[in-house]
Amino acid sequence: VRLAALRSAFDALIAAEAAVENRAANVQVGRSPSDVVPHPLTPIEVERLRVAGRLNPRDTLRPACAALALTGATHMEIASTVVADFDSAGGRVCLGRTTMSERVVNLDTATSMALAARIRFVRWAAAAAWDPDSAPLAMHRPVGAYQADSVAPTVSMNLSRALRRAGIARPGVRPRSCREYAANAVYARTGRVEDVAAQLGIVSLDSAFRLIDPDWQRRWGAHFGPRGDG
Amino acid sequence: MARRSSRAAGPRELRGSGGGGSTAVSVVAQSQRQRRATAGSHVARMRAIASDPHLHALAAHVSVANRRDHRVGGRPSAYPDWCLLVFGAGIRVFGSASATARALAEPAVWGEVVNAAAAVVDTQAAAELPPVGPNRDHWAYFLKRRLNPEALAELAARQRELGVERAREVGLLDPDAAYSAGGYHRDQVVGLDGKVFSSPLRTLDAERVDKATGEFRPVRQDPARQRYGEAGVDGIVWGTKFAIASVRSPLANHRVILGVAHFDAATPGGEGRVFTQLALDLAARAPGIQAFTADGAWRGTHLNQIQAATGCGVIAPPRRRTRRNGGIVIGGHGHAAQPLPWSRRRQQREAACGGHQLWAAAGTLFEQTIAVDGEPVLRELTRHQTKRDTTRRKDGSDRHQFYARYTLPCPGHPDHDWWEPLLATGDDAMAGFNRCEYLRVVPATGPHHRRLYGMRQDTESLNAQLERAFYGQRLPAWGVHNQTAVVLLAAVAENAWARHVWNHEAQRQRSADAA
Repeated sequence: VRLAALRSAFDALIAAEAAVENRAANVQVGRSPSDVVPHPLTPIEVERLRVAGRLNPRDTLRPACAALALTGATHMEIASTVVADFDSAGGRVCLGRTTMSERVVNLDTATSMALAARIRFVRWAAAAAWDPDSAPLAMHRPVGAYQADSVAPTVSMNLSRALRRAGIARPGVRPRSCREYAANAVYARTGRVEDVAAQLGIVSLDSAFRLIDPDWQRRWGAHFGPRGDG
Repeated sequence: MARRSSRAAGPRELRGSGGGGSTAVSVVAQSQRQRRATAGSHVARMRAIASDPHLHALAAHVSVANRRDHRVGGRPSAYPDWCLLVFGAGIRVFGSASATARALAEPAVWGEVVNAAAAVVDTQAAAELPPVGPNRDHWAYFLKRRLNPEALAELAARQRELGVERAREVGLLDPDAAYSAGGYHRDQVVGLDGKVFSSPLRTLDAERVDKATGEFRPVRQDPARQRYGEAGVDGIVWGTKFAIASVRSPLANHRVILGVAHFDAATPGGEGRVFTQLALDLAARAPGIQAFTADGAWRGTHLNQIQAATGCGVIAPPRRRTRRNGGIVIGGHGHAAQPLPWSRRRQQREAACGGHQLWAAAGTLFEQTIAVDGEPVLRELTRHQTKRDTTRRKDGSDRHQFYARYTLPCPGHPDHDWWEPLLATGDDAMAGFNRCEYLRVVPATGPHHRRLYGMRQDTESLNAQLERAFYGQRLPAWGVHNQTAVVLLAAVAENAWARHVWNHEAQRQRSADAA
């Protein structure tokens, strides 16, 4: 039985006045370490994903989706980011606005350009119905218009297509590799797991550290300058 | 085999190989008067048909197919088979079987036909012919009994063989002529096109009222009639459809029909597959074919099949798509684009620089970059050369591959320079890339495409000639069998006239040189 399900069951019992308190609220379960091995994209693959990840010459969706993923956004954050979250003048984007992990991430020029191009298209497509507070940045429709269980597959499919179009088909590479790249890039720059957790919106430092690939750091860490230089 | 240079000074020269020797004709510019003179007259065309050895070869084929035991008995034929083939080919000249019968009923016309045929057939046999030509009853009997479906199928195959032979005879499809991949000559490019001949039946009604009696009477139906969409015609066309392959030179009326195939809406694979089968058949018969040209019926799969199997280039219009739907606009037209897949070679080539966004569209490659304002910019890559490689398989067959050499400037790195395959490769299937749909031997943006695709448009003049040849611009025959026979014999008539035009032009040029 999952702990979350147990807690929900208690909540239902409380609502039905069959129980007074949630006895599962303080229960702690010993976690087993994740056996997922990180396969972050290499800087060369990231460059190619930015350059050649389009499905057609006018495609702005996949570049925007990839740009957000490369900043460390989760699938849900990519889906729920709206136009108003992007500050083009400041080169920043606010991720996870409605969640506990809300944060502002600074963007590089290429990412800002990809998002700006997407906004131009979305604005043109929306015409009179233009509303920056609801227009999604990297989805066709607002996240609420999707079924709950189809949001992550939609984002995942967009990223998979972009990766395939860019010819990135290494064993182990999957859409999550974009986020793993963001984690490793931050770690290569600062050498601090706290910064990784902050950029990716991860509460647990252990979880953030599990995204760091030592082999990647050894091969590509020098590309991001000496540690601590930001 | 040594190939003649195509860079000789002066007008291009065509060399015919028929008649036991070679004849040369220079492709000189013809005046309007000279061009019109090649149209000839009805009698001249009938003479050309009757004196054509190929018609008599086909007649011999019919006679052999109908040979039967003498003991069975029956009335002897009033006319030998060649007379009925002349009658059938005459429908192309006079417009209908009825008009042909009337013309051949004239002793003067029939006498011309017999005299012309005497050069090919036995003089004694020609002298024993009736004083007037066959009539419609003879023609109807011939179609029904002598030219049975099996004989007609064999006749169609034999006609292709003779068509290729005729092309060589009149200086077309020269296998020794030099050429480069993409720089094809008009007399060696075969044009394929589908032609819907209007049915003789002009109404959709199954019954008609007799105005005198008020009685409903059934209307004769054409079982071959179907509905087809036709370019350049509003709505639809009711008729019967044929694939026609032809080759010509710039000289007026110097065109040879290489093959004819009937098909309809139920034919598996549709027009594209019928054209493909016809092209493969012709390429196997005629080594002088350099290229085929056809309209949009051929998609990437067909192009790959033909080019890989025959080594002949194919000139076809590129796939279109509007800009709104993701196409690339070139010269005012939107073209469908697909990203060039990442083969192992490409990965290695672009490993140092990170890679480029390359699109295959309009038969060539484009690079997409992002301008400082964030707008995508497309730039066509320079294509330098196109070449063809041939690989001999274990079973003895050949497989051809075309390559184009491209250069891609790469800021901060040496320029990329490589040979891009133009036919399907092993990696394409995995990437879901239909290579021949987007990359062509002759790209639509290149200087040759307009000239070469004009050769496809030129087949429309043959279609128009055939259509206008028949009375009321309707095929004067009912049912697939009869209609195929009429169209096949119209092709024989065209080829006979091409021979006449060739001989006439050769003689004219010889006389001019002598003078």
